[in-house]
Amino acid sequence: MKDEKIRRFSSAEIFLHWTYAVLFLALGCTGTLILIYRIFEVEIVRYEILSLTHRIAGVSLIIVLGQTAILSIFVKGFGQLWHTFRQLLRWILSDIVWLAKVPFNMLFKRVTLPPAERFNPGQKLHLLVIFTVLPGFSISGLVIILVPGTLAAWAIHLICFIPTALFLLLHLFLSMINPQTRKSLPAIFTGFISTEYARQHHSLWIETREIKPHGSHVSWRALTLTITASAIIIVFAIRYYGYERAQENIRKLISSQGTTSILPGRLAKSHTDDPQLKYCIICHQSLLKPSSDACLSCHDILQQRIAQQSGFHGKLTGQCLSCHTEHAGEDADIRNFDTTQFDHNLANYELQGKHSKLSCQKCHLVKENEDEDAAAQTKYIGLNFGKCTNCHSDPHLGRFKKACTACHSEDGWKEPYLVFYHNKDTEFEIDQIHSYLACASCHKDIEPPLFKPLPTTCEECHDNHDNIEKQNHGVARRIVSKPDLHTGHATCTECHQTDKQRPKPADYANTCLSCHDIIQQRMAQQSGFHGKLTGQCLACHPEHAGEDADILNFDHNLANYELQGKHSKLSCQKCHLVKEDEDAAAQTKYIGLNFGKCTYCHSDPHLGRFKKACTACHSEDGWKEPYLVFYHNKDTEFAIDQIHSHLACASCHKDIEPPLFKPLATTCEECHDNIEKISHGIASRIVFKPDPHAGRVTCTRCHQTDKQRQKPADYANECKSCHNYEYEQLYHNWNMAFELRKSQAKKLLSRLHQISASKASQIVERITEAEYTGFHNIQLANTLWDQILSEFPNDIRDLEGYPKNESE
Amino acid sequence: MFISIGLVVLFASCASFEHLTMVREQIFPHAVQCGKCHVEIYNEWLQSDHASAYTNPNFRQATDDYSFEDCLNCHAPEPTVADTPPVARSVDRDEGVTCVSCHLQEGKLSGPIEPTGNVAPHPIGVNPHLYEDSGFCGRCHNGDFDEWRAVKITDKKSCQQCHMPPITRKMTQATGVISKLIVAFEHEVSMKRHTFSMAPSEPQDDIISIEAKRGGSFVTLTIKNNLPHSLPGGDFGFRVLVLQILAIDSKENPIRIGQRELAKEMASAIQPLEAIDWQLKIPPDTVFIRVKLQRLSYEENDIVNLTDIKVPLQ
Repeated sequence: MKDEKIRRFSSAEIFLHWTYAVLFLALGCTGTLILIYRIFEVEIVRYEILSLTHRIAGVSLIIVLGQTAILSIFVKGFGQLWHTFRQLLRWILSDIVWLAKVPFNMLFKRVTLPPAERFNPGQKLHLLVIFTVLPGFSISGLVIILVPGTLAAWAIHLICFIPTALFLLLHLFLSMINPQTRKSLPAIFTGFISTEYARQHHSLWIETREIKPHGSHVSWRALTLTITASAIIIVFAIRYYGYERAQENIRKLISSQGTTSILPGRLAKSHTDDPQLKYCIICHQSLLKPSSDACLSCHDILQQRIAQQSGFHGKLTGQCLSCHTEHAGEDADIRNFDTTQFDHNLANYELQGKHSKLSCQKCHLVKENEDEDAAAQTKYIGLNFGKCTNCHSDPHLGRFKKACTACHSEDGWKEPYLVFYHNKDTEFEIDQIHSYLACASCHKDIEPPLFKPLPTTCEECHDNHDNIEKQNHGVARRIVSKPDLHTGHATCTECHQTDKQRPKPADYANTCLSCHDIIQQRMAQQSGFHGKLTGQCLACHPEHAGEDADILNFDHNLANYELQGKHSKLSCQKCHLVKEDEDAAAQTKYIGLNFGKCTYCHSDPHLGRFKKACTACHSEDGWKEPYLVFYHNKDTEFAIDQIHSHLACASCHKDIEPPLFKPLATTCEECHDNIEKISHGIASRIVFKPDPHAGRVTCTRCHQTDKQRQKPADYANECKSCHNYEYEQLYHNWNMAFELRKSQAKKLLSRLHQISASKASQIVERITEAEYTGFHNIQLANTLWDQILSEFPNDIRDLEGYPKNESE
Repeated sequence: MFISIGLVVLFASCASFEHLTMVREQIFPHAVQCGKCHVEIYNEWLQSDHASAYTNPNFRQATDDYSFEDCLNCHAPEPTVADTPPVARSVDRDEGVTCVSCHLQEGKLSGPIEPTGNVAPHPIGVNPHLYEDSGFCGRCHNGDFDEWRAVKITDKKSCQQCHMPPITRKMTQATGVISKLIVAFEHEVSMKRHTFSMAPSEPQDDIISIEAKRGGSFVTLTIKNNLPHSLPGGDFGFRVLVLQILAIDSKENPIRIGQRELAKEMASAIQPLEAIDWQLKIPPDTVFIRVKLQRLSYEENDIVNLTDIKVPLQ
């Protein structure tokens, strides 16, 4: 029997269904994928593509529905759609019964459903839902596109999604899978269904007579298979994704009250760390864009700045969001700050002088948290800049009370930018006596130059300088005597005028007589002994030369002490003018003098430092060469080895005059303390890290003591003797590197000599330092050479073809 | 047709594997590219001295700003061929001792273990004899290797056994969806960590062994180096260990009774498997002797604790 067909859907209905279906499926798929991306953080298709597709499809759907509505007015075929809608929206009593019976019909075949019209109540219900959610979707969707960040729109969009998805799945199941109902599927392509189907499912439409449909409308097997297949797919998807991760994300979804489903991206780390920012509503509003007030309620420094119109932000107008974006991921730098284009003078702190040449990070890299990486720690707002010491360490260790700017300017710390007048800026005025001294003559104790404020009285400095103060009070190195008569009577400045450089004895002539007024009187009257004299007081008085003419012819060899050598040429008083006790005046005493030891008459210029008898080295014919009998290797504890053999005595014994030949230290480090310092990283101008050999490897490990004037080649094997054979080449490389720098420096120096002799002589000293630093501290030597080469002015560097020094 | 669409999709998403198909004698991948799949190995290497062999500021200074070319043979080596000495790379020197320096052999990315995945995105070579041999390390670490070779004991550990600790894990880790799918089918194998650490991460007891014999107010310590290289090892740079001896009395108060620096340059390094004797005066109520061995890195001033042993007094 040929099956009869009956027309169920008109062309307009089919057209409307499919245009709607295609766009709706696209919206459903992209919407679902967006939700999966947000909740489970799985990006199956790129988010940007999903979002764009979803928006285009949404807008298209609105346009298509609108166009169809317009078409329905002018085109006859489409006008019938209104009739279709009326059919769909018209509910009769049996429809309610039908809906109530559907669940039982699924369970028991015996339960029959009431007859249905062209659209059964399920289809009517579906359309009712669509009619309800369509305005919700459209309006909230348009708001989402036009006013980003409105919470209410997102909530409505999400709420509409749930019933829509359920009905769509049911619709797909019934039309494509369920065997009883999928028979009607061709109708939506062709418009026709079989009469038999129509009778069974839509009897009210096809027949006037009621025919009760019998049998179940839904196949249990199909439903179970579909649900099982879906479940398997979901289980595999979760397994592939990871149970724990899925659980974690669902827990997050629940604990955030569903908000992770509309979260467009993770917040920046600084915002997620703040527990106050847990809820969207803190920043967002229900119906409007997120406002700047929400940002500023936390960023109070900025709020203040904007209110006061100070700083960079104070000069800006507009919303925070026009520059800053959020939800760009945990690691995003939402400051969106282009340091290369930024005009710092718009900020509160105007950059001047050297400040304007610094890289941003020099000041703005603030390490508050050691764990974070450096890039995350730039801080542009809220830096303290009121004091220099907020950024700069104080090399003077806080000793100066005046502001830094009293001496320094932003153009540079050092000369020629240093503005400092000793007479004005310190409590010690530099008088003529002190005017020729170098800074380091007084400020010598501490490196780097801290310029510790020194005492301002004469005695406090000249205490350990020439021991004047101590000697005045009778405190000499070896003896304690009576204080000088002048002590306490006269201040230093009573005799020493401060307005004269380098005074000579003649300058003190009137000074003595201003106190010794009797002598002054006699000299004025030309009476008495002094009255017959001319010349300066100091010419006679420190010496008290004796003049006992009576014993000029005395044969001293008749006495117990035979005069030999130079003793025989002395005046009597040289030995015989003695003081019996402290209080007595000096008297000549010829009998009973002690003469057993040299030191009864002679003071020991070596200050008792030598334990041997004086005659071990000296004879009565004279103290000095050629009468001196002395062998360094035998008579001292320091044997002169080959390295030291070509040196003059004064090369080592140079500190004290007259040459006391103080026994010097015998270790290498104590004399060569410059090398010792250098190897520990202490150079004249900088402090550097110590060489690892310092304090660990002895000098003689490399310097053989049996060779004079050693050259670099003599050390060629020393490095590799501890390390390995590669170090022979490495030693050679460093030698060449140092030689190259040295020749560069010398070349530049010869040119500098013609321009500035003083600057050149400074550099000569530094070249010497760099030369002897060498292998004693390779890295320091390298740094010193670099510094030296950078000190030469650019015009000289230019002449020799060296690159210009950028810092200049 | 579906198959061809599937393949197109697969290859489109595999765009990041493109470099792996290019491995040849002269064109080789950067460490970052290796690290896209060998994530854990890459991260270990990144923390190791090998990664900073070229870029670290000490090396830059020690070579006078890279002007001493001889050093680069080992600090930025070309992919090595088994029998020839290392040669400096002309490109990408910043990577130091990088992945391909060791693992690119004859156009294959090679190692000691069989391929573990179903997919081999690059040519793979297997050569356990080469990679498990101390001599492989010894081509650069030649001083250590000579010292190690001279030690004659039966169960001598190779360089890799201590300085590349074993770990069981997958060869690769994934970051993307497709790569996760590929990794999911890989199985875990016992392999080596690429930390190349000079010192152990935790203080260890078996570096040195100590005996303490009391004689009156003195104790005689016998300190034996259990390692097949001297303590400290290495002959590049200046390596210093600090050996501290503490006496601990019944109230557990520690008193330092001796401290000594061990360094080759000071002729105080302990030779492999040799013992030194050290007599020290101890307080009368000493119960324990505690021996601390620390590595002093003079560059950063950080101290690594190597071992900390309590020795009862006999």
